[in-house]
Amino acid sequence: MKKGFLLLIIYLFLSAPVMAQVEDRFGFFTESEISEYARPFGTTLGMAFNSGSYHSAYVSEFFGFSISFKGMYIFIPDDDLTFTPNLPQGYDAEQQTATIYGNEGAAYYGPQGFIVYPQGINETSIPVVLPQITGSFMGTEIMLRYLPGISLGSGEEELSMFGIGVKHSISRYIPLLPVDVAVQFLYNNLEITGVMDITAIAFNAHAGKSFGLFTLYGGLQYEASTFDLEYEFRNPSNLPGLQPGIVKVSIDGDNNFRGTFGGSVKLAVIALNIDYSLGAQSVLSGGLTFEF
Amino acid sequence: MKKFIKSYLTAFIVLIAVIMNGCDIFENFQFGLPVRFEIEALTTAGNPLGSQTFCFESNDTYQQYEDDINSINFVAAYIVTLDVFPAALTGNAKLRLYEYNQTTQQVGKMLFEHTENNYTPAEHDSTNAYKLNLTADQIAAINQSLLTGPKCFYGEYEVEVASPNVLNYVKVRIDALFNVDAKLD
Repeated sequence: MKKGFLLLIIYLFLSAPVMAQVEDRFGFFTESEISEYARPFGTTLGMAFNSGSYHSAYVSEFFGFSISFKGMYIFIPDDDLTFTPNLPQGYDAEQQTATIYGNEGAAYYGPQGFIVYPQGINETSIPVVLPQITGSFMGTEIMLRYLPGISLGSGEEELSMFGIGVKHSISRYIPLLPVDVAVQFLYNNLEITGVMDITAIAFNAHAGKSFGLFTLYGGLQYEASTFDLEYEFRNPSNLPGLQPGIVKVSIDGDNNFRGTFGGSVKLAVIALNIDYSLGAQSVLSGGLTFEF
Repeated sequence: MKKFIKSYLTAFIVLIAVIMNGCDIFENFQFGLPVRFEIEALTTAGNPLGSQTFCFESNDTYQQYEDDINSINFVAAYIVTLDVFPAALTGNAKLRLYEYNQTTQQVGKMLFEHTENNYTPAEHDSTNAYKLNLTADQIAAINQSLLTGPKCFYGEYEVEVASPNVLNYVKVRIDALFNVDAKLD
Protein backbone atom coordinates (compact mmCIF):
# COMPACT_ATOMS: atom_id res chain seq x y z
CA MET A 1 0.00 0.00 0.00
CA LYS A 2 2.82 2.34 0.96
CA LYS A 3 4.68 1.46 -2.22
CA GLY A 4 1.54 2.02 -4.26
CA PHE A 5 1.02 5.42 -2.68
CA LEU A 6 4.64 6.34 -3.25
CA LEU A 7 4.46 5.30 -6.89
CA LEU A 8 1.31 7.30 -7.34
CA ILE A 9 2.90 10.40 -5.88
CA ILE A 10 6.03 10.09 -7.99
CA TYR A 11 4.06 9.33 -11.11
CA LEU A 12 2.05 12.45 -10.45
CA PHE A 13 5.03 14.67 -10.24
CA LEU A 14 7.54 13.13 -12.53
CA SER A 15 7.97 10.02 -14.60
CA ALA A 16 9.16 7.66 -11.92
CA PRO A 17 10.95 5.14 -14.15
CA VAL A 18 13.07 7.91 -15.61
CA MET A 19 14.07 9.11 -12.16
CA ALA A 20 14.78 5.66 -10.83
CA GLN A 21 16.86 4.37 -13.70
CA VAL A 22 19.07 7.32 -14.51
CA GLU A 23 21.17 6.98 -11.38
CA ASP A 24 22.74 3.72 -12.55
CA ARG A 25 24.02 5.51 -15.61
CA PHE A 26 25.47 8.56 -13.91
CA GLY A 27 28.10 6.42 -12.17
CA PHE A 28 29.97 6.03 -15.48
CA PHE A 29 30.82 9.71 -15.68
CA THR A 30 33.47 11.88 -14.17
CA GLU A 31 32.52 15.33 -12.96
CA SER A 32 33.81 16.89 -16.18
CA GLU A 33 31.77 14.57 -18.39
CA ILE A 34 28.43 14.27 -16.65
CA SER A 35 27.16 17.65 -17.86
CA GLU A 36 26.88 16.63 -21.50
CA TYR A 37 25.17 13.38 -20.61
CA ALA A 38 22.68 14.74 -18.08
CA ARG A 39 22.03 18.28 -19.36
CA PRO A 40 19.08 17.26 -21.60
CA PHE A 41 17.43 15.75 -18.54
CA GLY A 42 17.81 19.02 -16.63
CA THR A 43 16.46 20.88 -19.63
CA THR A 44 13.43 18.58 -19.72
CA LEU A 45 12.69 19.18 -16.07
CA GLY A 46 13.03 22.90 -16.65
CA MET A 47 10.68 22.67 -19.62
CA ALA A 48 8.18 20.70 -17.54
CA PHE A 49 8.18 22.97 -14.53
CA ASN A 50 7.89 26.05 -16.68
CA SER A 51 4.93 24.65 -18.61
CA GLY A 52 1.23 24.60 -17.93
CA SER A 53 1.21 27.78 -15.90
CA TYR A 54 -1.58 29.49 -17.83
CA HIS A 55 -4.45 28.68 -20.15
CA SER A 56 -5.74 32.21 -20.58
CA ALA A 57 -4.52 35.69 -19.76
CA TYR A 58 -7.62 36.56 -17.78
CA VAL A 59 -7.21 37.14 -14.05
CA SER A 60 -10.22 37.50 -11.82
CA GLU A 61 -10.88 41.05 -10.66
CA PHE A 62 -12.27 39.74 -7.40
CA PHE A 63 -11.77 36.32 -5.91
CA GLY A 64 -10.95 33.24 -7.93
CA PHE A 65 -9.77 29.73 -7.13
CA SER A 66 -8.84 26.74 -9.26
CA ILE A 67 -7.40 23.24 -9.11
CA SER A 68 -5.57 22.01 -12.19
CA PHE A 69 -3.98 18.83 -13.43
CA LYS A 70 -1.49 19.53 -16.18
CA GLY A 71 -0.12 16.81 -18.38
CA MET A 72 2.86 17.46 -20.64
CA TYR A 73 4.58 15.58 -23.35
CA ILE A 74 8.09 16.85 -23.87
CA PHE A 75 9.70 16.06 -27.20
CA ILE A 76 13.44 15.49 -27.14
CA PRO A 77 15.24 16.88 -30.21
CA ASP A 78 17.85 14.83 -32.05
CA ASP A 79 20.61 17.14 -30.80
CA ASP A 80 19.84 16.02 -27.26
CA LEU A 81 20.24 12.32 -28.01
CA THR A 82 24.01 12.12 -28.53
CA PHE A 83 27.16 14.00 -27.63
CA THR A 84 30.88 13.83 -28.36
CA PRO A 85 32.81 12.91 -25.24
CA ASN A 86 35.94 14.73 -24.22
CA LEU A 87 38.38 11.84 -24.39
CA PRO A 88 41.99 11.76 -23.16
CA GLN A 89 44.84 12.25 -25.58
CA GLY A 90 45.33 9.31 -27.92
CA TYR A 91 41.64 8.49 -28.25
CA ASP A 92 39.54 9.16 -31.31
CA ALA A 93 35.92 10.18 -30.73
CA GLU A 94 34.82 9.57 -34.30
CA GLN A 95 31.59 8.15 -32.97
CA GLN A 96 29.17 9.96 -30.67
CA THR A 97 27.74 8.38 -27.57
CA ALA A 98 24.29 8.55 -26.04
CA THR A 99 23.05 11.25 -23.71
CA ILE A 100 20.59 10.22 -21.05
CA TYR A 101 17.93 10.13 -23.78
CA GLY A 102 20.02 8.40 -26.43
CA ASN A 103 20.32 4.71 -27.16
CA GLU A 104 23.73 3.10 -27.59
CA GLY A 105 26.58 3.92 -25.28
CA ALA A 106 29.90 4.01 -27.12
CA ALA A 107 33.22 2.40 -26.23
CA TYR A 108 36.53 3.95 -27.26
CA TYR A 109 39.92 2.31 -27.30
CA GLY A 110 43.16 4.14 -26.68
CA PRO A 111 46.41 4.13 -24.67
CA GLN A 112 44.67 3.68 -21.32
CA GLY A 113 42.44 0.85 -22.50
CA PHE A 114 38.72 0.93 -23.14
CA ILE A 115 36.65 3.89 -22.03
CA VAL A 116 32.98 3.03 -21.93
CA TYR A 117 29.87 5.15 -21.76
CA PRO A 118 26.41 3.93 -20.74
CA GLN A 119 23.40 3.69 -22.94
CA GLY A 120 20.62 6.21 -22.49
CA ILE A 121 17.00 5.45 -21.83
CA ASN A 122 16.22 5.57 -25.57
CA GLU A 123 13.32 7.97 -25.25
CA THR A 124 12.38 10.80 -27.58
CA SER A 125 9.48 12.04 -25.50
CA ILE A 126 8.89 12.31 -21.79
CA PRO A 127 5.50 12.62 -20.07
CA VAL A 128 5.17 14.71 -16.92
CA VAL A 129 2.12 15.40 -14.81
CA LEU A 130 1.79 18.31 -12.40
CA PRO A 131 -1.16 19.20 -10.19
CA GLN A 132 -1.44 22.82 -9.08
CA ILE A 133 -3.81 25.23 -7.38
CA THR A 134 -4.30 28.91 -7.97
CA GLY A 135 -5.94 31.71 -6.09
CA SER A 136 -6.56 35.15 -7.51
CA PHE A 137 -7.58 38.48 -6.11
CA MET A 138 -7.73 41.93 -7.65
CA GLY A 139 -5.96 41.08 -10.85
CA THR A 140 -3.18 39.04 -9.25
CA GLU A 141 -3.01 35.26 -9.28
CA ILE A 142 -0.84 33.02 -7.15
CA MET A 143 -0.14 29.50 -8.37
CA LEU A 144 1.18 26.81 -6.05
CA ARG A 145 2.66 23.38 -6.66
CA TYR A 146 3.62 21.55 -3.52
CA LEU A 147 4.62 18.14 -2.34
CA PRO A 148 5.72 17.62 1.26
CA GLY A 149 8.84 15.55 1.86
CA ILE A 150 8.16 11.89 1.19
CA SER A 151 10.68 9.28 2.25
CA LEU A 152 11.93 7.15 -0.63
CA GLY A 153 12.46 3.74 0.87
CA SER A 154 14.54 3.09 3.95
CA GLY A 155 17.36 5.47 3.07
CA GLU A 156 17.66 9.16 3.76
CA GLU A 157 16.37 10.10 0.32
CA GLU A 158 13.29 12.25 0.43
CA LEU A 159 11.32 13.67 -2.47
CA SER A 160 9.82 17.12 -2.15
CA MET A 161 8.62 19.79 -4.50
CA PHE A 162 7.62 23.40 -4.27
CA GLY A 163 6.53 25.73 -7.03
CA ILE A 164 5.06 29.18 -7.02
CA GLY A 165 3.87 31.46 -9.77
CA VAL A 166 2.74 35.06 -9.56
CA LYS A 167 0.65 36.40 -12.41
CA HIS A 168 -0.66 39.90 -12.78
CA SER A 169 -3.12 41.27 -15.27
CA ILE A 170 -1.81 44.11 -17.40
CA SER A 171 -4.94 44.59 -19.43
CA ARG A 172 -6.84 45.78 -16.36
CA TYR A 173 -4.85 49.01 -16.65
CA ILE A 174 -5.62 49.45 -20.35
CA PRO A 175 -9.35 49.93 -20.91
CA LEU A 176 -10.84 48.73 -24.20
CA LEU A 177 -7.86 46.50 -24.93
CA PRO A 178 -9.33 43.80 -27.18
CA VAL A 179 -7.29 41.00 -25.58
CA ASP A 180 -6.36 40.02 -22.06
CA VAL A 181 -2.69 40.51 -21.28
CA ALA A 182 -0.78 39.29 -18.22
CA VAL A 183 2.75 38.77 -17.01
CA GLN A 184 3.89 35.91 -14.82
CA PHE A 185 6.90 34.84 -12.80
CA LEU A 186 7.49 31.16 -11.99
CA TYR A 187 9.78 29.44 -9.51
CA ASN A 188 9.84 25.67 -9.15
CA ASN A 189 12.08 23.38 -7.18
CA LEU A 190 12.17 19.60 -6.93
CA GLU A 191 14.59 17.89 -4.61
CA ILE A 192 15.51 14.32 -3.90
CA THR A 193 17.82 14.73 -0.96
CA GLY A 194 21.29 13.49 -1.66
CA VAL A 195 20.53 12.84 -5.34
CA MET A 196 19.27 15.85 -7.23
CA ASP A 197 17.92 19.34 -6.81
CA ILE A 198 16.29 21.03 -9.78
CA THR A 199 15.38 24.69 -9.82
CA ALA A 200 13.55 26.32 -12.70
CA ILE A 201 12.58 29.95 -13.08
CA ALA A 202 10.65 31.70 -15.81
CA PHE A 203 9.19 35.04 -16.69
CA ASN A 204 6.54 35.36 -19.34
CA ALA A 205 4.11 37.73 -20.94
CA HIS A 206 1.00 36.19 -22.44
CA ALA A 207 -2.21 37.27 -24.07
CA GLY A 208 -5.57 35.64 -24.66
CA LYS A 209 -8.80 36.34 -26.47
CA SER A 210 -12.13 34.70 -25.67
CA PHE A 211 -14.71 33.71 -28.27
CA GLY A 212 -17.67 32.52 -26.28
CA LEU A 213 -16.66 29.27 -24.60
CA PHE A 214 -13.33 29.20 -26.42
CA THR A 215 -10.15 31.08 -25.67
CA LEU A 216 -7.07 31.36 -27.79
CA TYR A 217 -3.88 32.22 -25.96
CA GLY A 218 -0.18 32.58 -26.55
CA GLY A 219 2.91 33.91 -24.86
CA LEU A 220 6.63 34.44 -24.85
CA GLN A 221 8.74 33.24 -21.97
CA TYR A 222 12.29 33.58 -20.77
CA GLU A 223 13.36 30.64 -18.63
CA ALA A 224 16.32 28.98 -16.99
CA SER A 225 16.99 25.82 -15.05
CA THR A 226 19.74 24.49 -12.82
CA PHE A 227 20.19 20.83 -12.10
CA ASP A 228 22.32 20.01 -9.04
CA LEU A 229 23.28 16.38 -9.07
CA GLU A 230 24.97 14.11 -6.56
CA TYR A 231 26.00 10.60 -7.49
CA GLU A 232 28.71 8.01 -7.01
CA PHE A 233 31.33 7.84 -9.74
CA ARG A 234 32.35 4.16 -10.04
CA ASN A 235 35.13 4.39 -12.64
CA PRO A 236 33.90 1.36 -14.61
CA SER A 237 36.61 1.93 -17.23
CA ASN A 238 39.25 1.58 -14.50
CA LEU A 239 40.98 4.68 -15.74
CA PRO A 240 44.25 5.30 -13.95
CA GLY A 241 44.40 8.35 -11.71
CA LEU A 242 40.67 8.39 -11.07
CA GLN A 243 39.17 7.25 -7.82
CA PRO A 244 35.55 6.22 -7.34
CA GLY A 245 33.65 8.58 -5.08
CA ILE A 246 30.82 11.00 -4.62
CA VAL A 247 30.50 13.69 -7.28
CA LYS A 248 28.52 16.87 -6.80
CA VAL A 249 27.91 18.93 -9.88
CA SER A 250 25.66 21.79 -10.96
CA ILE A 251 24.40 21.70 -14.55
CA ASP A 252 22.62 24.52 -16.33
CA GLY A 253 19.79 23.43 -18.61
CA ASP A 254 19.59 24.69 -22.18
CA ASN A 255 16.34 26.49 -21.39
CA ASN A 256 16.21 30.08 -22.61
CA PHE A 257 13.21 31.29 -24.59
CA ARG A 258 9.99 29.66 -25.60
CA GLY A 259 6.88 30.59 -27.50
CA THR A 260 3.52 29.08 -26.60
CA PHE A 261 0.27 28.93 -28.51
CA GLY A 262 -2.89 27.15 -27.47
CA GLY A 263 -6.58 27.10 -26.86
CA SER A 264 -9.01 26.31 -24.10
CA VAL A 265 -12.67 25.65 -23.68
CA LYS A 266 -14.64 26.35 -20.55
CA LEU A 267 -17.74 24.40 -19.62
CA ALA A 268 -19.26 25.68 -16.35
CA VAL A 269 -16.48 25.21 -13.78
CA ILE A 270 -14.36 22.96 -15.96
CA ALA A 271 -11.76 24.29 -18.38
CA LEU A 272 -9.88 22.07 -20.78
CA ASN A 273 -6.82 23.37 -22.57
CA ILE A 274 -4.10 22.26 -24.93
CA ASP A 275 -1.06 24.17 -26.09
CA TYR A 276 2.27 23.73 -27.81
CA SER A 277 5.52 25.36 -26.81
CA LEU A 278 8.62 25.75 -28.93
CA GLY A 279 11.81 26.14 -26.94
CA ALA A 280 14.97 24.22 -26.14
CA GLN A 281 12.66 21.21 -26.23
CA SER A 282 9.09 21.27 -27.51
CA VAL A 283 6.19 20.66 -25.16
CA LEU A 284 2.65 19.57 -25.86
CA SER A 285 0.69 20.45 -22.77
CA GLY A 286 -2.87 19.73 -21.82
CA GLY A 287 -4.82 20.43 -18.71
CA LEU A 288 -8.02 20.03 -16.81
CA THR A 289 -8.88 22.90 -14.51
CA PHE A 290 -11.71 23.26 -12.05
CA GLU A 291 -12.32 26.99 -11.75
CA PHE A 292 -14.45 28.55 -9.07
CA MET B 1 -16.59 15.81 -8.14
CA LYS B 2 -14.28 13.74 -5.94
CA LYS B 3 -15.02 10.70 -8.07
CA PHE B 4 -14.27 12.67 -11.23
CA ILE B 5 -10.91 13.88 -9.92
CA LYS B 6 -10.05 10.34 -8.86
CA SER B 7 -10.91 9.03 -12.32
CA TYR B 8 -8.89 11.77 -13.95
CA LEU B 9 -5.84 11.02 -11.82
CA THR B 10 -6.17 7.32 -12.52
CA ALA B 11 -6.34 7.98 -16.24
CA PHE B 12 -3.16 10.05 -16.08
CA ILE B 13 -1.32 7.41 -14.10
CA VAL B 14 -2.48 4.59 -16.33
CA LEU B 15 -1.47 6.55 -19.41
CA ILE B 16 2.03 7.17 -18.12
CA ALA B 17 2.37 3.65 -16.80
CA VAL B 18 1.38 2.22 -20.18
CA ILE B 19 3.82 4.49 -21.96
CA MET B 20 6.70 3.65 -19.67
CA ASN B 21 6.03 -0.01 -18.98
CA GLY B 22 6.23 -0.76 -22.67
CA CYS B 23 9.87 0.26 -22.57
CA ASP B 24 12.34 -2.57 -22.31
CA ILE B 25 14.94 0.08 -21.55
CA PHE B 26 13.50 0.45 -18.06
CA GLU B 27 13.89 -3.25 -17.37
CA ASN B 28 17.31 -3.88 -18.84
CA PHE B 29 20.53 -1.97 -18.83
CA GLN B 30 23.27 -2.70 -21.36
CA PHE B 31 26.76 -1.41 -20.80
CA GLY B 32 30.32 -2.04 -21.81
CA LEU B 33 32.46 -3.82 -19.25
CA PRO B 34 36.19 -3.34 -19.83
CA VAL B 35 38.55 -5.80 -18.16
CA ARG B 36 42.30 -5.86 -18.16
CA PHE B 37 45.00 -8.12 -16.88
CA GLU B 38 48.74 -8.32 -17.34
CA ILE B 39 50.90 -11.29 -18.29
CA GLU B 40 54.60 -11.39 -17.66
CA ALA B 41 56.71 -13.81 -19.69
CA LEU B 42 60.33 -14.22 -18.60
CA THR B 43 62.83 -16.92 -19.46
CA THR B 44 66.51 -17.62 -19.88
CA ALA B 45 65.86 -21.02 -21.40
CA GLY B 46 63.17 -21.67 -23.97
CA ASN B 47 60.48 -19.36 -25.23
CA PRO B 48 59.20 -16.61 -22.96
CA LEU B 49 55.93 -17.90 -21.58
CA GLY B 50 53.70 -16.38 -18.95
CA SER B 51 50.20 -16.78 -17.63
CA GLN B 52 47.61 -15.01 -15.56
CA THR B 53 44.15 -15.79 -14.26
CA PHE B 54 41.21 -13.45 -14.34
CA CYS B 55 37.80 -13.78 -12.73
CA PHE B 56 34.91 -11.45 -13.41
CA GLU B 57 34.14 -11.48 -9.70
CA SER B 58 37.20 -9.31 -9.15
CA ASN B 59 35.67 -6.54 -11.24
CA ASP B 60 33.76 -3.94 -9.18
CA THR B 61 31.23 -3.16 -11.88
CA TYR B 62 30.55 -6.84 -12.46
CA GLN B 63 30.06 -7.34 -8.74
CA GLN B 64 27.51 -4.55 -8.64
CA TYR B 65 25.27 -6.24 -11.23
CA GLU B 66 26.31 -9.85 -10.67
CA ASP B 67 22.93 -11.10 -9.48
CA ASP B 68 21.03 -9.30 -12.22
CA ILE B 69 23.08 -10.13 -15.30
CA ASN B 70 21.13 -11.62 -18.19
CA SER B 71 24.11 -12.10 -20.48
CA ILE B 72 27.72 -11.15 -21.14
CA ASN B 73 29.21 -11.15 -24.60
CA PHE B 74 32.69 -10.60 -25.90
CA VAL B 75 33.13 -7.44 -28.00
CA ALA B 76 36.83 -6.84 -28.66
CA ALA B 77 40.31 -7.30 -27.24
CA TYR B 78 43.75 -5.77 -27.66
CA ILE B 79 47.27 -6.71 -26.59
CA VAL B 80 49.50 -3.90 -25.35
CA THR B 81 53.19 -4.43 -24.80
CA LEU B 82 54.20 -2.80 -21.53
CA ASP B 83 57.83 -3.94 -21.50
CA VAL B 84 60.07 -6.10 -23.64
CA PHE B 85 63.71 -7.24 -23.57
CA PRO B 86 65.52 -7.30 -25.86
CA ALA B 87 63.66 -4.55 -27.69
CA ALA B 88 64.17 -6.27 -31.01
CA LEU B 89 62.58 -9.51 -29.79
CA THR B 90 60.55 -11.03 -32.59
CA GLY B 91 58.79 -14.32 -33.02
CA ASN B 92 55.49 -16.08 -33.36
CA ALA B 93 53.28 -14.69 -30.59
CA LYS B 94 50.55 -16.90 -29.19
CA LEU B 95 47.73 -15.98 -26.86
CA ARG B 96 45.72 -18.83 -25.44
CA LEU B 97 42.64 -18.51 -23.30
CA TYR B 98 41.33 -21.30 -21.12
CA GLU B 99 38.48 -21.68 -18.67
CA TYR B 100 39.69 -21.69 -15.09
CA ASN B 101 38.19 -23.15 -11.97
CA GLN B 102 39.18 -20.85 -9.16
CA THR B 103 38.07 -23.25 -6.44
CA THR B 104 40.17 -26.17 -7.63
CA GLN B 105 42.71 -23.93 -9.38
CA GLN B 106 42.44 -26.21 -12.38
CA VAL B 107 42.86 -24.98 -15.93
CA GLY B 108 39.91 -26.09 -18.05
CA LYS B 109 39.24 -26.34 -21.74
CA MET B 110 40.95 -24.04 -24.19
CA LEU B 111 38.64 -21.42 -25.67
CA PHE B 112 40.99 -20.19 -28.34
CA GLU B 113 44.59 -19.92 -29.45
CA HIS B 114 45.49 -16.89 -31.48
CA THR B 115 48.82 -16.82 -33.30
CA GLU B 116 50.55 -13.91 -34.98
CA ASN B 117 53.71 -14.85 -36.84
CA ASN B 118 56.79 -12.63 -36.94
CA TYR B 119 55.39 -10.49 -34.19
CA THR B 120 57.53 -7.75 -32.69
CA PRO B 121 56.10 -6.85 -29.28
CA ALA B 122 57.97 -3.54 -29.14
CA GLU B 123 55.89 -2.28 -32.06
CA HIS B 124 52.67 -2.68 -30.11
CA ASP B 125 52.89 -0.36 -27.15
CA SER B 126 49.87 1.57 -25.84
CA THR B 127 49.83 3.89 -28.85
CA ASN B 128 49.63 1.00 -31.30
CA ALA B 129 47.93 -1.86 -29.52
CA TYR B 130 47.52 -5.15 -31.34
CA LYS B 131 43.90 -5.97 -32.05
CA LEU B 132 42.92 -9.59 -31.63
CA ASN B 133 40.91 -10.59 -34.65
CA LEU B 134 39.09 -13.65 -33.40
CA THR B 135 37.01 -15.91 -35.58
CA ALA B 136 33.29 -16.27 -35.10
CA ASP B 137 33.85 -19.74 -33.62
CA GLN B 138 36.38 -18.40 -31.11
CA ILE B 139 34.01 -15.62 -30.07
CA ALA B 140 31.19 -18.14 -29.79
CA ALA B 141 33.37 -20.29 -27.53
CA ILE B 142 34.05 -17.34 -25.22
CA ASN B 143 30.40 -16.38 -25.12
CA GLN B 144 29.32 -19.95 -24.41
CA SER B 145 31.80 -20.08 -21.56
CA LEU B 146 30.47 -16.80 -20.21
CA LEU B 147 27.00 -18.28 -20.33
CA THR B 148 27.68 -21.61 -18.68
CA GLY B 149 31.28 -21.60 -17.48
CA PRO B 150 32.95 -20.44 -14.28
CA LYS B 151 33.53 -16.88 -15.57
CA CYS B 152 37.17 -17.27 -14.64
CA PHE B 153 39.87 -17.50 -17.27
CA TYR B 154 43.48 -18.51 -17.59
CA GLY B 155 45.41 -16.54 -20.17
CA GLU B 156 48.74 -17.74 -21.53
CA TYR B 157 51.09 -15.64 -23.64
CA GLU B 158 54.09 -17.04 -25.45
CA VAL B 159 56.53 -15.79 -28.03
CA GLU B 160 58.38 -18.44 -30.03
CA VAL B 161 61.72 -16.73 -30.47
CA ALA B 162 64.63 -17.53 -32.71
CA SER B 163 67.12 -17.35 -29.81
CA PRO B 164 65.41 -19.10 -26.93
CA ASN B 165 68.41 -19.64 -24.65
CA VAL B 166 69.09 -16.03 -23.67
CA LEU B 167 67.20 -13.66 -21.39
CA ASN B 168 63.87 -12.85 -23.05
CA TYR B 169 61.23 -10.84 -21.29
CA VAL B 170 57.82 -9.60 -22.39
CA LYS B 171 55.13 -7.97 -20.29
CA VAL B 172 51.77 -7.41 -21.93
CA ARG B 173 48.40 -6.06 -20.94
CA ILE B 174 45.26 -7.64 -22.29
CA ASP B 175 42.41 -5.15 -22.72
CA ALA B 176 39.09 -6.82 -23.38
CA LEU B 177 35.62 -5.38 -23.70
CA PHE B 178 32.42 -7.24 -22.92
CA ASN B 179 28.85 -6.19 -23.33
CA VAL B 180 26.68 -6.79 -20.28
CA ASP B 181 22.91 -6.97 -20.32
CA ALA B 182 21.63 -6.57 -16.77
CA LYS B 183 18.16 -6.53 -15.35
CA LEU B 184 17.29 -3.39 -13.43
CA ASP B 185 15.40 -3.77 -10.17
